[in-house]
Amino acid sequence: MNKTKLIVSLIALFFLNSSPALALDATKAGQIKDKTETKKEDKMVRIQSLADLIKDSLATRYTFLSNMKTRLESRIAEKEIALKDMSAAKEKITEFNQPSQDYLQDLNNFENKIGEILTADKPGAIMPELRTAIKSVRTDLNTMHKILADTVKLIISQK
Amino acid sequence: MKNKIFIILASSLFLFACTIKPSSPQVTETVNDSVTPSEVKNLSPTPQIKPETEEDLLEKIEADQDNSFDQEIKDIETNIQQ
Repeated sequence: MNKTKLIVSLIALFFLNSSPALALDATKAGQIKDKTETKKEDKMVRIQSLADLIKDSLATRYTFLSNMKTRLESRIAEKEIALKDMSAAKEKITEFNQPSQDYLQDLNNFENKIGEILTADKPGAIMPELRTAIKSVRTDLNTMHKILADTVKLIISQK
Repeated sequence: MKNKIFIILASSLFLFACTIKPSSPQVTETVNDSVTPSEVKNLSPTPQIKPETEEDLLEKIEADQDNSFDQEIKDIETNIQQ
């Protein structure tokens, strides 16, 4: 009987000792989990801010080119009033609309790729797609740039 | 009697002296009103704004530069790999 009491007491003592240890492990695990999540969140914030930087820069360029297109259109209208032949310049500037539309679509695609990177399990796999998306937006802007430069040259040729 | 005459004369002289304005040396200030030709140029009323030529517009368009965003892409990649 005494032996049984002793064994029961020993088992109870073991559980009494082991419970806080387990609780401590759980706290540590929780802390590690929290740290990992904070690190992941920081990473996401950094990626998002880099994406915003790219997007802002692209948008600034797009606004500049769009404003320049408007100015050239009014310049063409002025020249037409002065009876200058602006047919070639007018035709050229209408080419601007297509890359302008493409730009909006490609910029949207770029934003989607960033969204995918932020949520994917393997974001590295989306990087080549992100590169292609940025390149497409750049190509649209460069096409718009070239059309405007050619338009001005056509206006100058009719001086 | 003499004293009285002396006092009257002295006071008259004193009063006379008080009425005379002090003859201070006249200060003349010379202002250099001459303006050099370069100053005239600077003083021209409003700078004339040249109308923007087509060449100016072309210059502005050509100043628009493409950006490869290589560094930003590299930074995104680094953050992903971390």
